[in-house]
Amino acid sequence: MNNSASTETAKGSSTGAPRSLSIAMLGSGGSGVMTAGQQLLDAAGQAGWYGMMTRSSGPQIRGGEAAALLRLSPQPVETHKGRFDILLAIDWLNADRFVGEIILDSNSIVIGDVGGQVPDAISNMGGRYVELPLSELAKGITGGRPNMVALGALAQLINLPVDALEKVLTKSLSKKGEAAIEASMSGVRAGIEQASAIPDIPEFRIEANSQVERWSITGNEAAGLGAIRGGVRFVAAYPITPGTEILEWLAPNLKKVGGVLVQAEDELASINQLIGGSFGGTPSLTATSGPGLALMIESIGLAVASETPVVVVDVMRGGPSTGIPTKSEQSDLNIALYGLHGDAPHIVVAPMSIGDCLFTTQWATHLAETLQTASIVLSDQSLGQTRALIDRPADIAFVSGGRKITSKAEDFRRYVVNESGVSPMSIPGTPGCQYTADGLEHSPTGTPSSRAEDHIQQLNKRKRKLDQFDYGDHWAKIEGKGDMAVLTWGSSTGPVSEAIDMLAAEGHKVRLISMRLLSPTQPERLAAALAGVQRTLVVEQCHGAQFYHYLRAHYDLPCELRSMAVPGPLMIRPDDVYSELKAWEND
Amino acid sequence: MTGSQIDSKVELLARTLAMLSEMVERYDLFADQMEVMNNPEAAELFRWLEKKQNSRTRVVQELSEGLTLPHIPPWDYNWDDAINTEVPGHSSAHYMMTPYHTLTLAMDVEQSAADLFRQIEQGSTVAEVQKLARSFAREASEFRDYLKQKRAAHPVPEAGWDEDEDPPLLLE
Amino acid sequence: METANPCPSLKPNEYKSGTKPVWCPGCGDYSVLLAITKAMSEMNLEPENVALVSGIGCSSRLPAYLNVYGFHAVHGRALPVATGLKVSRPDLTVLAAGGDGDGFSIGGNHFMHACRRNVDMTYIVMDNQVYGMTKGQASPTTDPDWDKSKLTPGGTKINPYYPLVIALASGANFIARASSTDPNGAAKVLVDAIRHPGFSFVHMLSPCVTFRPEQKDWKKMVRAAPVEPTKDPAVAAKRLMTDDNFFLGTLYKGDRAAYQPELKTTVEHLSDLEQGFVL
Repeated sequence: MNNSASTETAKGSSTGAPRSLSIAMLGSGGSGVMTAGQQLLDAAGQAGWYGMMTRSSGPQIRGGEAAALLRLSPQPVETHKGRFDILLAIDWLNADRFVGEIILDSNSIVIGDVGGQVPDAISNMGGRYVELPLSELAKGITGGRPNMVALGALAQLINLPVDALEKVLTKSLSKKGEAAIEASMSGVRAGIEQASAIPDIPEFRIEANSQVERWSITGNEAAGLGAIRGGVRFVAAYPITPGTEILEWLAPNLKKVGGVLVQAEDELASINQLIGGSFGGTPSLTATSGPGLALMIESIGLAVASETPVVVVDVMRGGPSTGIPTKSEQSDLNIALYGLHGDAPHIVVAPMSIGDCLFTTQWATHLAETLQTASIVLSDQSLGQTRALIDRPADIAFVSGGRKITSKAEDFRRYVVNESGVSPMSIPGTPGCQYTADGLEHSPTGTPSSRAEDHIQQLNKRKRKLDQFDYGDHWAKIEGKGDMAVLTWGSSTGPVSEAIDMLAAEGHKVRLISMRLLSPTQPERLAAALAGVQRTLVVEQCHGAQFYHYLRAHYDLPCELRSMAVPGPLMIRPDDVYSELKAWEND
Repeated sequence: MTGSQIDSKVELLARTLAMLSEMVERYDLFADQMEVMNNPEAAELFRWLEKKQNSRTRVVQELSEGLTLPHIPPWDYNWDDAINTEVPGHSSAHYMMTPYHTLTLAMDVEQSAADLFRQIEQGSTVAEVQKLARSFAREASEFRDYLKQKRAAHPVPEAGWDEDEDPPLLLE
Repeated sequence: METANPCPSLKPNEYKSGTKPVWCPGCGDYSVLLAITKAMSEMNLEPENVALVSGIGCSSRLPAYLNVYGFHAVHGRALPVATGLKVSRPDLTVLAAGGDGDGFSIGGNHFMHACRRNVDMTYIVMDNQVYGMTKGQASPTTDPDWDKSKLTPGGTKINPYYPLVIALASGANFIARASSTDPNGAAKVLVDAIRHPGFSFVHMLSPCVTFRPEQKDWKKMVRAAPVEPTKDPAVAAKRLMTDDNFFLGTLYKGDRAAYQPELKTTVEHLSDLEQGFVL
């Protein structure tokens, strides 16, 4: 089961941050910047590059200001840098809202349409301003659009082969017909011609890599595929930003593998539908975000008590309450760990990269099924909705615990107390093994019981099965040596990892420990991982330092600790972590 | 069963057996209930009634040996309000019921059964059925009288026998 | 329509688990349990191919007393659990059961949507117009003037909820009322409900002897509805709107097809799903 390597960044340890180009495309709704951004990313993938793209926008459903933020590199990238090399705006309406997200400096190039008015907040950051006649050129082409002209200009600027663009446009516009493809390509060619006017900047030119198969995937799609690879065949869905795309990807794809997705009336229904599906023997999963998770919590407790496997993917967003639905935050850690009433041990895992959403969701499903419990997967908006170019993740086959009994068993007792804590679970239809699954405390046969003996036995059983299981190396990613370490989790892993690479390039060794398994806790493993470490920085995207407090509560940490807890909506950047580490080093 | 005429021995036996075995189950259930409610006196009497009905069931089973009895779906019994105490309704039990109540309940059951079999006897045109129904009616009447004698050993409960000073429990 | 089973392979009693109920002696739910076992026996259902899902409340204790697969879920959520089970395992006979508080108050939204979704299952609500497990509070079906609950001194002063009307308006495919005072009649209704495709709703009057002793009189008040089932929702609407809550029998039998997505694999390898990601 060697898989983690394939799902994680294969970066050299001493080369520093990967050489990359960051490009932001801005425009009002209708200008097509998102589409152009995605086409640019896919074309880069065609040319053998890696990359990622996030979307940022105003609160409007249609219209309003929007930004496609790209980073392209010959090496895998998992996070945005702070600064952008190129900012291209189709228009500048309300563009100053992105100032916190898009940082420019004097080496940046700012491209705008002729006659456009660059907001002061943007021009004040510096950068060379270049005007291109985007709309004028588009007007001269039948069906031409400024975003295609922009796409061509950017492609030229970064040395992206035109045939890669042509491939992508042909594929994405195949339904619209020949004329649409031609109109777009004409726009692209016009853009390429114009861009020749921009002075050549050698460091912007990325050489094409060897042609290997590259995937274009979001964390949400990867989680969906991980679910199906894990055996999930029943999904109950209630839409919520930013988790919906998992469900939308699963709806048609589950159908192809003999599974089914039901749109439920609310999250109370979706979690309970999962419990029903799983009770029937079908691995079951749902995806949601914080508010939905809050609604599901009571029934996640039912899954734990009745030992019915379920998987809930929480694509976290800014909270509390409705919070900031379109932005990322790692602030659902507490509810995922501690939200359940009663003593209810369960699995909490977190993917640490976009590609890892696949592995972690598959693993979570495997753990839920094998251990007959609830698994909560803490993804977040930045992992879920960012599109990345990655290598195809490896196929991993987990050997399931064979929990499900399908033929008549002697002396079947559903909740029998045994050494492993995992008791036989029959599937409806199996004769002689009928039982009643119950959220009431119960005896080994499943009969409701309020006896102290039954309670302690079942509590111990449900805890033991999680504690005794061997989670192997999957529990965390550990990289590097040194007496300084960063402890982090989830989407903060990307910027932390890059900051550590930046320090390594300067000759400073810092250890990375990113925890994939958050519950049950692994104190011995973490102690071993921290051996020899004097100082540890705890990095998380959360105002309340939930991860820091979790570590303090459950682990012996003999080293000096510092907390770097930063709330959303802005992502933690490699530079921020680098500065924090650097400052501490110099203390 | 009122209003329906029974003209074959097998049908009468089938219906009688269904009734008796349901009585056995009901007394068994009542005994269980009384055990769960910590009312051993009533529980014991219900167990005794269950045993009695069981032996009557066996007699009817013996009478049925070698015969193929028809299966009659439960809803075709047409037990109406007037006689459906031939099997005591679930609502006739009470957790504080005394032996006096228990025996009264059983007496009512036997009275209903006797009435029912007499109706069957009168309604049927087949001598064999009439004879059998008559014997079943007689048996029920005799058992009722026996129960009445047995009841005499127990005092008539005073008014307020079902008063419980403690409130019901909160369970969930 | 139900037909007589020439030879049930299991007696009603053989569908019981042997666990002794916690219900009060005299409770109507005993009769409902009996009616369910009679219906299953008449239908020759194999206990292992039946699943009964319940929520929380007195009547929701039902699954433990039966020898079928059971799920005693949390308060108000029996229908979603049953939905997930049936949709992913259409081969099973799925029943859901519970009380009026569970089904119409905390689970009210699921009731509407289960009717609308029309998954092939039978939902039995044992209505005693009171919360028994929490010591006798008013439920959605309680009369506005019932003043015996400490929680609502002087009564709720809120009109009760009409579950059959809601069921019809929400799209249930089968609507009937039965009474625990007549378990044989109830068994007949249940057989009819289970056989009918789609979502079948059985409103089961089941008196509470502890908190609503006056409901013992229901036995004298219930009577067979003087009408045949209709498949015309307009006729059913009029019937249900003028219903006095004591007519028994099948009142509406719709002809809507049940919701059941086909579970059929159409790809040879899982890797076929990955093609969408390959550039």
